Amino acid sequence: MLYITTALYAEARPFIEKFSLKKKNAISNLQYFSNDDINLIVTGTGLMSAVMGTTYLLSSHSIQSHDMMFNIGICGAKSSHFTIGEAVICNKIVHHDTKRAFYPDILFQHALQEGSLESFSHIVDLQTDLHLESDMVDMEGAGWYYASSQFMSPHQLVCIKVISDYLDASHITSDQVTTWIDNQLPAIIHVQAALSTIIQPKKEIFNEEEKRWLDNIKTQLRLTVTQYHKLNQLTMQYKIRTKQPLEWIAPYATMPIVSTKQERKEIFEQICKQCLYT
Amino acid sequence: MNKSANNAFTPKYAHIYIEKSAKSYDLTTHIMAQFPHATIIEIDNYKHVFSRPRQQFALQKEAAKLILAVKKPPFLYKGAEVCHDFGYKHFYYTSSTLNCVYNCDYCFLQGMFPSGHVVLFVNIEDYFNEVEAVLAQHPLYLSISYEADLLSFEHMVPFAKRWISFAESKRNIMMELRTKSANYKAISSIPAHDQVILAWTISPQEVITNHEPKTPTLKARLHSMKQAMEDGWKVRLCFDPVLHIEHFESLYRECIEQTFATINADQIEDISIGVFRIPKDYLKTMRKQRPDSALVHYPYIHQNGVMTYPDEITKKCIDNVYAAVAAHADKDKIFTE
Repeated sequence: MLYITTALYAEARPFIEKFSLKKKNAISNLQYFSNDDINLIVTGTGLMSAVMGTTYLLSSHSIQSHDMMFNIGICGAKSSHFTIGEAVICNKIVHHDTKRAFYPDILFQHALQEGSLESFSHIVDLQTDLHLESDMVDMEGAGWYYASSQFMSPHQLVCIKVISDYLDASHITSDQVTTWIDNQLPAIIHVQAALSTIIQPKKEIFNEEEKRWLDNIKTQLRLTVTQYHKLNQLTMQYKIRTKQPLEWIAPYATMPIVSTKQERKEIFEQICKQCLYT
Repeated sequence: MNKSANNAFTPKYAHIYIEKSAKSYDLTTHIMAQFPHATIIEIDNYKHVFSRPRQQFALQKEAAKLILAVKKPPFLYKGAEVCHDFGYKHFYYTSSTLNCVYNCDYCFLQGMFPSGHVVLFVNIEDYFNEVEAVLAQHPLYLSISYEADLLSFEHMVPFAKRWISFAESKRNIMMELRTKSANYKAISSIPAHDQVILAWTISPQEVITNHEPKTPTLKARLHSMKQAMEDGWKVRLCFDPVLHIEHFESLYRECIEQTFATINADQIEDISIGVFRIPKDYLKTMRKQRPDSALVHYPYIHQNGVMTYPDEITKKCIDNVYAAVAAHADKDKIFTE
């Protein structure tokens, strides 16, 4: 699953149109769009909004190790090292107020430039008397990262900013924003594809039949919670080690329910022994 | 990992994180000069990168980053009980590097560290100062490549050379440099002296192929070891960890035969033999990191906080290797658990 947050609808529009995302009326203050593979939320501007929107999005899903979280939006650049309309991957995100820094783990190859981002609680322009530590400024990145990192690993988090101005955002229109993001959509999709290549879904150890056998054994042997945990662990280790199916365990799943603790103990030990090296 | 996934990872050390306080060190300049195209990211403290929660050690090993940092005290740590102390009373280890270029299935670092990225501490002089202070109180047996394989990094940062040269003038230190590398040539220009033991971990080629990815072959390790011995260095052989795998008897026997066909047993300083053993918490983390490793998911037993083979299997492994080694080497030189 790909999760995306943007601050503005104008930043989200290219994704909504490209992937035919449908609006969901989940929560009145947030614009939420999705299809089978993508969940996108428009958080609104500002750090608090980014934290709230991101937390809402991720806490309402069961996050998997192969999921990805992207923050996409425009930002100001400190210098003309970056060009207007260019997409930049953030390798460091600083919360300006606290100076706390976050570091997405960029493990995938990509063709974009990288830079550092500083997130402010207010608009930053040329008139603002600030010592900027980073290459770019925005109002959401640090909040998005902080919230996302409560749910996901640092390599699952990707912050891509599209340069909109050199600290003078007064003349930017929403159509311009949409155009800049739309122009960078192929590059963003490329990054998503590169990341998805390296984070594959976890392989299931047991097939459905084996899971059924283990559940039945739990019932037929009246296993305690501890014994059932041990059964799962030993059979899992057996499968990883031997690469063999668990067919030998099937008869235990269809045996009559044990009548005594002694009987349970003997059969359970027999299964355990078969799982172990002798 | 399939081929397409391998190609999707960033090249090794494509990103270098540098603590602000590390920028002024000569070693930083030396290391940076070797990576002119790396993306440099300034950090306040290496732990902000190295200790991030929920990192994936195994994935990071495929796209390792460098972190250059300044180590804060302490610089020396007491040796762990699961490690051989070779009869020395004051057994310490030190870590000028965290993590390793190799990626062995059984490596305890993946259970110990939250990250697979490599930390290089550039303030090596501070380590030397603390060692000198300790040496003023008592002698020292010091393992310098405990949480890394220093020799494998030598082309990048000359830590092994610096440590070996430091030890030369000290009379009451014995330093162990343990390695799986075949990179002896990186230190071969230093004249041999008695304060350092060069220790090679030796495994059957099948173990190297299947469980020690990215490490040199057995033949290459033996060749490196032979050169060191010919140059007059004390050399230690480490059959550690001995793994209880299929056909382990014949695999280790053949490995030991090949070893002593290459090197002269009489010139070996000593030999250590030990089976796989690891703190319980580390193994728990390793099992999450390596869900498909048969070695990691072996049904080890718990003994005093350490996970290892059942006693009868440990005995079988040790006895087997000991007998094969003892056929060539003086028994007084052989250390077992």
